Amino acid sequence: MTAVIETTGLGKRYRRLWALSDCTLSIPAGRVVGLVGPNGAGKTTLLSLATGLLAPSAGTIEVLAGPPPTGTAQLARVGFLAQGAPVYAGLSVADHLRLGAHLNPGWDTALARGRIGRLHLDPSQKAGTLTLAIAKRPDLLVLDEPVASLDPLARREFLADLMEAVTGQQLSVVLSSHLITDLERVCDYLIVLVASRIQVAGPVEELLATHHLLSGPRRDLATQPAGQQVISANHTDVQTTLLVRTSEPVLDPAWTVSGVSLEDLVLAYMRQAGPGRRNHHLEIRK
Amino acid sequence: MSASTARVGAVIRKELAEFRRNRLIVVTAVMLPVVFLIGPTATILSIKAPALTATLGKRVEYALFMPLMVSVLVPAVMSAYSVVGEREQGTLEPVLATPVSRAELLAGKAVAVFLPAAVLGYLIFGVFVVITQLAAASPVAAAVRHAPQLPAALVFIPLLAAWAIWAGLAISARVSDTRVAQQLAVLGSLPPVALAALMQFQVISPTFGLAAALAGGLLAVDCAACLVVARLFDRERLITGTRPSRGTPAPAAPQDIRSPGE
Repeated sequence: MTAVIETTGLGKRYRRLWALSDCTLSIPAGRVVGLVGPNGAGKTTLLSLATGLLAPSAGTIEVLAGPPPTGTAQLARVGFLAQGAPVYAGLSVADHLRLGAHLNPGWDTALARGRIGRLHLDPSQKAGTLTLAIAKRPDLLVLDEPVASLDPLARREFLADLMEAVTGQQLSVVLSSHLITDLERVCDYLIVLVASRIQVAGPVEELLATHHLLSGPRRDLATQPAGQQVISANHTDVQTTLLVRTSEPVLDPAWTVSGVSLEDLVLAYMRQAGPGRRNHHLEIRK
Repeated sequence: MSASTARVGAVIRKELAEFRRNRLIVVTAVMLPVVFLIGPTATILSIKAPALTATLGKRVEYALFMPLMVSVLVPAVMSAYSVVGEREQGTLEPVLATPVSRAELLAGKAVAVFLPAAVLGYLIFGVFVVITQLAAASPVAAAVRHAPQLPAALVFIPLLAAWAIWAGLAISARVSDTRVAQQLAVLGSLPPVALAALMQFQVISPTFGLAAALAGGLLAVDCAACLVVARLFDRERLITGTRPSRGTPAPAAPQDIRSPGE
């Protein structure tokens, strides 16, 4: 399966600050990809590079097997919902639909009108802006924190609406969010980005299958087998709890092995990158 | 890549709709023409028929110069809002993520400002001339009708408006605050007005040849300014307000993967 986004050593610098560093990724087509990380991690920068809004300072990026979208044909294949889902306050619903139809060659008027009518949407609502992004019939849909300011019910409706659109149009989606429970609901591929660097990326199922929580008597981490990558470690006087990554089964009887939730996994990688590493990041200026 | 008139038209309509809801722009576009119409018209109508030729000439020069300011100030304020206004409300990214080329975006934004600016400029002159011809004393009306500044002003209205648009767009692409952009754009749009003022007040004698040469010069400057602004209409520069930084190696990745607890 071809990659929708492929990066090698990708980096982005704003003046002297690196917002994204050494990012190597290959996101397969047909996935719903969750991009998660703290504020200032570089999520918006990565998405802006993928949509051709920014040019790399280092490395390379390919989107839909071509250069990042800057030409008409490429831009028509990528839908983008920016942070805060902005709309033109001076334009009506019909104005927004007309603008979308004139700016996008592949615009699906029937789809847009159908969704707006069926869901009783106003484009100032997030689902309305999603319609504007979907109706251009993109191959790749990029959503930058689309549910950040929504209440739980509206979030759930937005995500259900997104999944319906994904299924109907066979889209590839990359969406960033802080809300891991939401990502868990819709994403089948996860990227954790902390302090401008990719910490881990892969299919959710595979990540959950290869990460384990080990609890047992306190012990030195130097005794861990070489095949086990320790992501986080917590010690009390008598007990050690580790989150490890390994593709091998954990055979040591001293450990009680349990699975991890996506939230445990993400938080462990965020702690691993830690505040000490957040020294050269910068959120894109709005 | 060829420009699409549909996309340029869509940008123009969108820009005009956005201008309509911006109070500062609406006030500027309505109040300035009124102010610059009332003053000169009152000046002309207050001239008594047997006025000295020199006095009449000076008042007509003033009266024909002031409306020119409309064709500079209105487009300066509108074009200054054009990019930074979108950046402030966050709508620049979505529009730049559509297949609109930067030439189409630039053309759409420029034309959306040029049309109302030129229409207002000519309208003010038209209303001024009609009122003075109907209401002013006969010799005064004739002085306005035969003033060489009148045809010169008609030529300079679009040229000055174009300069104000390029100055406004260039500033708007660089700064991050709408009010700062509008103040700088007004300042930046004034230099060519000084040239027009010299001619209007006959410091430079407004012969046909000189007026044509100055108009040609201003047209060349407008074309050059268009090229400069086109270079500024880079996607990244429009979003961040700064020049893209490319080609520097990223810092080395941290080596350790053990937890901070270790």
